[in-house]
Amino acid sequence: MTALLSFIAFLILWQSIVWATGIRETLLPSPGSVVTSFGEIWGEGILWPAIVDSLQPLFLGLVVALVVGIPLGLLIGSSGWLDLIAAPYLWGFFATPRIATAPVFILWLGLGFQTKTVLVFISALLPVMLSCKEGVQTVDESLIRAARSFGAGRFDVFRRVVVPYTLPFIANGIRNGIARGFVGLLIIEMTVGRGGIGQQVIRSMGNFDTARMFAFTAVLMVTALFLITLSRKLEAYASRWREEVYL
Amino acid sequence: MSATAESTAPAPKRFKGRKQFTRKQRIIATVINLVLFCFLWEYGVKFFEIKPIILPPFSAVVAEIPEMYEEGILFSNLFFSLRIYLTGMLFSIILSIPLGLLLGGVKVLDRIISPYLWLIYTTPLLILMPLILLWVGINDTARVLLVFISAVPAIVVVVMEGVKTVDNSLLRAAKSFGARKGTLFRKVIFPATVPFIATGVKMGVSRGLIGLFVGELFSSAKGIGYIIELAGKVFNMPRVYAMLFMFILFSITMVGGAQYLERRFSSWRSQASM
Repeated sequence: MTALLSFIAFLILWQSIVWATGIRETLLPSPGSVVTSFGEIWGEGILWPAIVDSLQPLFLGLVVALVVGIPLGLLIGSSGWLDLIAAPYLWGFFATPRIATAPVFILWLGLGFQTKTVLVFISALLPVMLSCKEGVQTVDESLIRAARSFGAGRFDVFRRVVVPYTLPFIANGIRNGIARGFVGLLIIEMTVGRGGIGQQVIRSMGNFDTARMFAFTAVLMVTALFLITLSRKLEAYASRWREEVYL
Repeated sequence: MSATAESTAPAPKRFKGRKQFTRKQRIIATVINLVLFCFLWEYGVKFFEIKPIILPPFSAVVAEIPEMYEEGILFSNLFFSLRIYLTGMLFSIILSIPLGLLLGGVKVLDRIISPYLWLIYTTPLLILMPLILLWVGINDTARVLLVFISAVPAIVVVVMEGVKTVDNSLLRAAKSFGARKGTLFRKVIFPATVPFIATGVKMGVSRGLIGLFVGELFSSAKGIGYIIELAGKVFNMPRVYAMLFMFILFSITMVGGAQYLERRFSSWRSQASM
């Protein structure tokens, strides 16, 4: 409710700034013209294809990242040796923004769907892996010891203790992965410009159609918000066994 | 050995956790690891006859570094990137910490502003890049601004959440001893939030790197990202990899520094509660 009110206030403030300063439409369009632009892109039928073009590589890349990242993270987390071997590479990749590798992938795979998917994949992979690894490594040793002394085998411990304990971490990793993957996708769309919302933003800017750019940006924000809300729900669900859920 | 056999064994094995290594062992292992990696790279490329356009041999990449130095493009670009980055980070840290404390501490502000903050936090602000270029033009200010907008939301969000986790009983204790709002902020909330500030800065540092790189990729005539892009355009792969390597080193230094600070600032907390 407060959010809605503050949003309306924000719109009014924005509109009145535009009126009061008489700023040019190219620099800051009024909310009204953004809405008009939104109607235009909806009517021209370029909105939906742009969204689909962005979401396809995003989902594919994310799914592959989860399928690869979660088991790998769990594995690295549960073995000291693997951790020792993987640590420097994980570190290097963690510290460096993954977009830095974009020029290399563009050279390898061209400018299309594949590059987008791969970039989403590597952007999302690392947060997922690191979260899983951290999750396994923070499992309370006394829990494991208790399970062992009640006769649980290695596999039982993994399934009954380690995995439930790690679930919130995994969910957190997925959330970060989605956010990072989204950034990766956008940047590649903006730089390379083959389909998707990112390209539309750049194209609108090239035509100095700032209102349209704002409209696409709004679409993007709604998409991001939707994805994040989804993953936060997931996170809350995964950690429901914990007593309190901080959101 | 199967799970059941182990659990029914007459003399149960002592519980062994994950293998732990000492610091010295880790360092030695890492060095061996990296050397091995370089060898594998060098000879793997030759063995599988991978085209240099895909992956040049390690030696070619290393040889590129002195070459760039002689051309005078190595350090000038590194320092250029460093200057832009540090300026952006400085501004974002100076702005974000008070903002985060304020948003976390004052309920009304939190209600009004935090929806936008979350929105900004989730949407990559880089989408505003075209607009920034439109407003301030293609210059150093735009690049600093890109680092700034990439880093600020991350720091603010973490600091804000940090303020909210301050132990209520501490606040109540301080209040019952007659602490006013200002004192409360200075003596209780701020110290309790310091570890979160450190974490936030760390997050901001890595986010800011994205802003830096994208800014250089798009709109620069200097900087690490620009060199990578330029070399990629003329298919000078060794240079792409060499500069990428430089950027990795750059990032590791920044993030490592931030992590070190984080550890120092949160050491008092881990002793107490964890």
